[in-house]
Amino acid sequence: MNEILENKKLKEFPFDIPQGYFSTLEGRVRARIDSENENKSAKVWRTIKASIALAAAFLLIMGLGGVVLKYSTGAFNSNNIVAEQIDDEIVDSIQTLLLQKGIYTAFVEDSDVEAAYNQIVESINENEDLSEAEFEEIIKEYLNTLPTTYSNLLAEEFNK
Amino acid sequence: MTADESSILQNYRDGNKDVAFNLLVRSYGKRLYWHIRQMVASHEDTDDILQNTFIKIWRSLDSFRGESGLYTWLYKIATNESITFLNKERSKNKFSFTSFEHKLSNSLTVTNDFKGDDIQLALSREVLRLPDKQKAIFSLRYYQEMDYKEIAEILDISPDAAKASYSVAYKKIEAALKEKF
Repeated sequence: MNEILENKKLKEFPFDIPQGYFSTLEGRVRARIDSENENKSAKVWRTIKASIALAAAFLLIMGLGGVVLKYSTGAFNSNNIVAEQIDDEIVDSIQTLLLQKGIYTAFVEDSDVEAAYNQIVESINENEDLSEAEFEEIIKEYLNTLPTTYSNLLAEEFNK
Repeated sequence: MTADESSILQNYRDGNKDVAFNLLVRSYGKRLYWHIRQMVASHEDTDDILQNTFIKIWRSLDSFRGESGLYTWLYKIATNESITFLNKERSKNKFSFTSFEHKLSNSLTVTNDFKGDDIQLALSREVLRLPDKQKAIFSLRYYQEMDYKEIAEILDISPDAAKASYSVAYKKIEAALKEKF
């Protein structure tokens, strides 16, 4: 009875895969890369601007509410609440940036990306009328300074 | 470094990017697909995660420093993408009466593309019920037959932690299967 998991049949792949799936995979991934290259820059910048405006408004509201909550319950965690507002595309953009900077070699989870995003939003809020290039520069500078345990450090900062 | 890895990186650095890209997808597509599918169950989600993995790898190949093998790096991204996906789906399910793990394991029989027998189905269900990191460790060790050092690199844990987690998962699954068969 001990050898139930040693049965070789159990190690066989048990799923059907659509016919031709792997022979068309290269073409489909390449088509997505080409398409995203064409659209990404302008689209991401538009989305980031809209998202920052939303996050800035949200931070302001939560900041006011948070002061009351923090002193009444001690349990306010803006990091988690703001994280609810994050658009998937922004998270994806930041993950790609992290990857390009070599930071993704650490095991990056959603909470890390959200913390990085929140920090970036704060930096942007301190600087009005940024151009796209200046915005990218802030992100790059910020990512360069991050230690691999940055999510914990930022979480501590948010909870002070 | 394997012959495939050397060839991909050499072609990429020599400017033969089309050749490097095709080699990358051909060499690792099936293995990564299998690993992802054991973690997320559905073909459509696996396809999406696999494509995202290759896109991220391709965009970041310039920064690949070769400290770990390309093979390990690919699995790290694929595993991370799978866990990110599972976290998002779990979050969407948080107000449901049925647990996400239960839904995930039941999804195996919703479509007709599970071709295994009853014991294979029971095994896949038990794997899908494991915590995400343990699911990844079990898949990498049991199905992909990686050693603990490679698994440790992929998940940024120690080889001892990988071994301990696999042992717990193995015993848990074995006990569940013995009850049924």
